[in-house]
Amino acid sequence: MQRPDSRILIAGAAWRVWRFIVPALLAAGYLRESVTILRRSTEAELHPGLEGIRVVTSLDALEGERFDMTMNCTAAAAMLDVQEGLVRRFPHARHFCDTPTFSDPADAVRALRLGLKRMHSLEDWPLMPNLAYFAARMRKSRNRAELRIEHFGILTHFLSLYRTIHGDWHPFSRGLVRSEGLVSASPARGRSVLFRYRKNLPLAKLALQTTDCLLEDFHEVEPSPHNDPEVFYRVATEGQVSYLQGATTISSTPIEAVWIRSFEPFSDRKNVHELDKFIGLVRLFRAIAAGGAARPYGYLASVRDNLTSLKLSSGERSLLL
Amino acid sequence: MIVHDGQRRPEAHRPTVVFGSGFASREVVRGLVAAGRPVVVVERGGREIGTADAALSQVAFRREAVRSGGFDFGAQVPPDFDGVPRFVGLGGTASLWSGKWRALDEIDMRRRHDDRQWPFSLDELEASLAAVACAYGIPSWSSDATLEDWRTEVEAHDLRLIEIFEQRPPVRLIDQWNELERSGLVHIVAEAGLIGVAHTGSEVHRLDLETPQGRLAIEPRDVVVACGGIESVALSEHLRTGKRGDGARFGGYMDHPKGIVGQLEARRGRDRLAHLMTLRGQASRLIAFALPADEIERDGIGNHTAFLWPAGHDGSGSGWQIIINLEQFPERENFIRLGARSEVSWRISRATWQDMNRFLERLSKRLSGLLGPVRLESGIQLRGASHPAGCLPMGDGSARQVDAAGRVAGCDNVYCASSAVFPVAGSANPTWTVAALGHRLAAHLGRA
Repeated sequence: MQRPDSRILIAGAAWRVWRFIVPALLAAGYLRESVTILRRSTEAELHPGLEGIRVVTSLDALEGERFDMTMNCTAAAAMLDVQEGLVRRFPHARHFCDTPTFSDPADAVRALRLGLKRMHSLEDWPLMPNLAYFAARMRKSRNRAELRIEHFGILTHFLSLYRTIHGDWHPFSRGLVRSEGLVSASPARGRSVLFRYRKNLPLAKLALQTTDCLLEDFHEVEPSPHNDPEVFYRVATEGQVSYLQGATTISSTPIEAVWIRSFEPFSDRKNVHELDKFIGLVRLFRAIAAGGAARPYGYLASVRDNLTSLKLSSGERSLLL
Repeated sequence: MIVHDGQRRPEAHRPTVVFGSGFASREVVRGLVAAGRPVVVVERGGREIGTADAALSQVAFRREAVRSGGFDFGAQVPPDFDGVPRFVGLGGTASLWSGKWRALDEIDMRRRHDDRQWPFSLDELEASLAAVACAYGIPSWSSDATLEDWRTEVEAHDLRLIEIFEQRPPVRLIDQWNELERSGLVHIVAEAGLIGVAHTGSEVHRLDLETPQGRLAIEPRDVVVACGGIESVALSEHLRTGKRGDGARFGGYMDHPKGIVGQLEARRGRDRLAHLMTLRGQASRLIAFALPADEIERDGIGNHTAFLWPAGHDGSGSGWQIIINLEQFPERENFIRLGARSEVSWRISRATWQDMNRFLERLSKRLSGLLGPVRLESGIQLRGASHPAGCLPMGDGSARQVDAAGRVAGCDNVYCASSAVFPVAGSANPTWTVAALGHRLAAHLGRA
């Protein structure tokens, strides 16, 4: 595989970075030498997974350097300041930022302004192979269809998926209702989406029911394929993760075994959910490296998801803003 | 009575060993004591409710959670047991609840699915059901005049009225076990696990148990497995083969998927519905609805049950919730896989959802005609009802089945009395039927 020669700056060095971002970049073919980490101080010990990566503690230390991509994974309190600094310092880079979380209206304005720049979100739900497949099935359904997303927690994740299914400015199906642990989208053309937001990953599942099919994902990783067509699952082998519905392979991603093993044991749905996130990011980074049609989630959409989430948390109804 | 010293004792002096201490077990033991037989009861949990029991009560699951629906509908249980589907400890599930008593229907006993069918009719179980009813104070069928009037009207709307005895407070079996122990014929070994089995030909002739007091060897006359729809499968296999944890898979696992399916706005018969609440409060009777037996048999629909639950506290308002218990047919992909800790792989297939929709379509029209408008929920959420059944079905006694007496295939003196032996499970709460199977087995063993 040809190594991409892009230079990448990552702001932050916490769990999201060592668990997902750096491993996904490395699995996608980027070299440690291509990555620089910007963190607040060097006092806290760096996670062993980040060893060998250059670390700086201020943007000033990068004076005169060029980066092709930046990824902002800093804590919510610092995220907007850091992002404004990154955009200012590296105006020609491709910028990625975690889903912003804010409650101050002034911060919302700053985030919306940033959204007008050349920015993408690091929101990973629309990239996950299982969710992407369910979303595509839902989108293509010609008649009644109900998608249930249960016990995954954070509402903005769901909103990003819902926006992906229905299109960013779809004139219908945009009304969201929150009641008793559930957020549901108003049905249109017989379609509905339900999100049970109480986080309880041991019970997490996806279910799509249409007039002619039922498909469920219990986050199973199997050693070999089976033929139950109502179950979506994964087969992990040395060097490849495949996604299947019954005996049909939906997609396969070559991944070095060392990365796959880092998500074991697969009896834990949380680990499998994280494997799916990882695979989604690897695919994205590989597409970017190949100069192909990478389709990351929009930063502006992420900001609007956060605003919608805020509105739903203070009331029972909201449009998808 | 129970220490094995290498001497082969005469059969009459050897105890029957009963695993489990719930309702089925109690009925087996009660019958054997009446016949003057010595019994050893082996219980995996403790004699008191404790956190160790809560841990033992958890079931490993792969797909849908195997946990009780009762908790989601307000069942009052000790906090440590929130969400667990069963109770491991003296008294079995009775320590959590023993609320609803309803026998399987005649059609459940008659129905056939692939190679599964009860090997006897409801009539043949009737004497045991009556004996259990007598033991637990279940009243005979309704003599309530208002209800009987209503039954006629309900049947005119092509619905069946189901009467369920809701015991309050629930029976806890601790007192009954203490009483049986005082007979001098019953020895209870708590916190005990099976660690060894020795066979002579096709009979189990020695059991090795691990207990807090050390190892214990027992030379049994017969062995009865009565420890619920999940553990009974693992234990029967252990007794049959002498080992467990081999990854063996037992298909046909069934539960009664349960959930709120709609709302009824009662515009007619509100006095009748109020009467139902009176019956529930004063006579501990619950009323539910089902489709006529000949119709579900003819059209192949599950024998599902719909309960009406007042949206308010006392039923004085017009709003009622409709809650269902679904019959789930046995499917190969729903199974128990044995291991150091058995694992249940269970889900609700499209076939079951479709069957539910067929039922709801008919039920809602008929309930609307009888009582008032019904609005079905758009996003029905179903969960397990903690009625595991079906992985060791009764039948002709061929491989992985038990015979009509309850004998485990391949073992002449090992029997199973639990919901694991249900070939078809209907949608009735299983306690009464399970207890009747225990009573029936005691009669069989007592005669032998």
